[in-house]
Amino acid sequence: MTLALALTPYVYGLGFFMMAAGLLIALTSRHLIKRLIGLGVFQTSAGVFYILLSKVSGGTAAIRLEADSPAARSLASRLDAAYIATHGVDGVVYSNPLPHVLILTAIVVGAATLAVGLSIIVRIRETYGTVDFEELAALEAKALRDGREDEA
Amino acid sequence: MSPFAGVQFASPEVIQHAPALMIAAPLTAACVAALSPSARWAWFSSLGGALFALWMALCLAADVAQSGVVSYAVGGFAPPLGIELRVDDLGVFFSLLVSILGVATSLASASLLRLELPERDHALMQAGFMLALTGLLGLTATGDAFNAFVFLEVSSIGTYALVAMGASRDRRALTAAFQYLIMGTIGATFFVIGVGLLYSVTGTLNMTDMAEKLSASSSDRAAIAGLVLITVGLALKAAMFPLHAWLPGAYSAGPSVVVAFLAGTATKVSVYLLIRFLMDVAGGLEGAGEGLLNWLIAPMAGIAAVVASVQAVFQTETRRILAFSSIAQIGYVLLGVTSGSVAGLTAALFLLFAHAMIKTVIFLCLGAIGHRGAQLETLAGAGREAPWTITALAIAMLGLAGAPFTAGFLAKWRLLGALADGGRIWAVVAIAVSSLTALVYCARILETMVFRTRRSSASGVSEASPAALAAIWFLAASSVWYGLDASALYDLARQAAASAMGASS
Repeated sequence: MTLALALTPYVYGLGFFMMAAGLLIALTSRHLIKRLIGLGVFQTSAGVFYILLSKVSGGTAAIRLEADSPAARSLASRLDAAYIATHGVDGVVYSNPLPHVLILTAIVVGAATLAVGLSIIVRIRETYGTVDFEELAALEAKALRDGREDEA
Repeated sequence: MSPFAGVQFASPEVIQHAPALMIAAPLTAACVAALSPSARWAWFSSLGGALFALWMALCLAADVAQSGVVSYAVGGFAPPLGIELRVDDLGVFFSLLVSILGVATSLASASLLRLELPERDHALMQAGFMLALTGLLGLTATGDAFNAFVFLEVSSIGTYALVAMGASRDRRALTAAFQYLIMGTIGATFFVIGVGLLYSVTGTLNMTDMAEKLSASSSDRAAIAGLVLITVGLALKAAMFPLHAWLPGAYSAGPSVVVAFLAGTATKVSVYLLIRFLMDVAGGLEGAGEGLLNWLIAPMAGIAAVVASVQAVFQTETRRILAFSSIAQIGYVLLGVTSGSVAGLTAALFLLFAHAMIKTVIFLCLGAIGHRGAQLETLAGAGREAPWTITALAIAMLGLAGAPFTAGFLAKWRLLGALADGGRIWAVVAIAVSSLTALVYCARILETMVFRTRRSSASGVSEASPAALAAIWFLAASSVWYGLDASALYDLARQAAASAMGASS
């Protein structure tokens, strides 16, 4: 508990590190699938960020507990009474469930994007015979030159 | 006075649910199209979905003209807790734009697709088109920041697949779609992180509620960071310079009907969201929205206007010329948006509407003549083979260049006037330089198609089908009509601008 609290500010740092790393991979990697992986990491970082926002110190998952149930009592015993008096509902503190729901939606969106991206990569592999970004760029530049000569 | 004041397009029971029905219609049409047994049924379903959405948008326009703001609680959960669809003058302006272009492209789609895609792909393509329409209409209607992200991605994911389908005409569509997917998703993720930061400051996702809470809090760094992330994300989607790299590829390789729809709507709706967030949501945030508009967007828009026009001159492929011209036009529109006056924003919205119609006509014409070559040279003498189509295209090109008696001219003239009144001489100079450069490439396209004689090696060009011609000429004639008598469209634009600026002051 104390360790977790001490690390709290750094967890946001982890989220933003993932963001930067994902962005870097998505923009600079030569392999198209690696670019998609980078994109996935980047999207996940947004998820991590939202989940961090939702955490209420000492709060539990947002599933309603009866006030006098053993689980509720053990949770309440870890918090000081003053905190419960101001924030608690029935003596139990819950994390904010809304960001969880939002991120669930974002994950679905991310999965759809990944599916479309991967299927485009499959078609690229079938058409060009490579998934290397620089080779593709070279092939297209060559096709553009040939096209100009053909059509001229 | 709105041209829709006092008009009733449907019974009150239908009007009451118009915001939701407008989004649900194309979504249903997408499902039906995907399951249809033949390309023809898919086309009927897409046309039906688009027409229904247009009908609902007209109902909404009349309703907004009468009652100001239409608020719809989705699922009966009252806002700000529930998701709210909130349509005001600004939103309905874009709903009308998107649904009109949706109907026009849907009408032309069947014959254009026959020329470009194998028959088995038509149904899926219509389904993707309807999904994109759903997302874009949803964006114009939603009043919830996270809901906006979802609609943004519904339209974008549909669009990525649609652009990739152009591979049977031009295999570069695949790499263009991939790049579009990467850039678009990065933009959307920036947007969602920004929304998260705003949520962490305000504790709400409802845009109206957010605006109130932001104006109550003094300028908060997290809120400003969120706003910057949203701006960058939307700038990617709107292809604002220098984040426009995905656009020329997608426009040049995608199927014509898809590009015609995209060029008219997708980037425009992103501009709408920018206006919504920077002027409306962040209106009370001690000049943060204004700061971004004046010091980030305005300079970039000025550079875009000049640089993209010059780049367009040096392109040899027809569609790439037009793609760079679109980037420049987004620059003009954003210069008007950032002018800080109602007159400037009105002119920007008017130009945006006119340009959307013009670009849709141009891309529909290019697709409808069944031409396969990418280079402009291969279109030499097309005017002789397809006089009706090329005449419409010529009218649209004149509008793009800003020739008198077209909506393009009037819009640009008013924009220049508003910018000069606001003392933004540098913006006037940027638009003037860009417009003069635009004359070069517009003249080149017209000269090649209309006056040049055809060479034997040129690939086949034929007249557009009746349905496609109807769509093309409807849009081309409206663009001329609005050049002669702009009052109806201008009134709509002014009310939209007033509602955006009113909320920010």
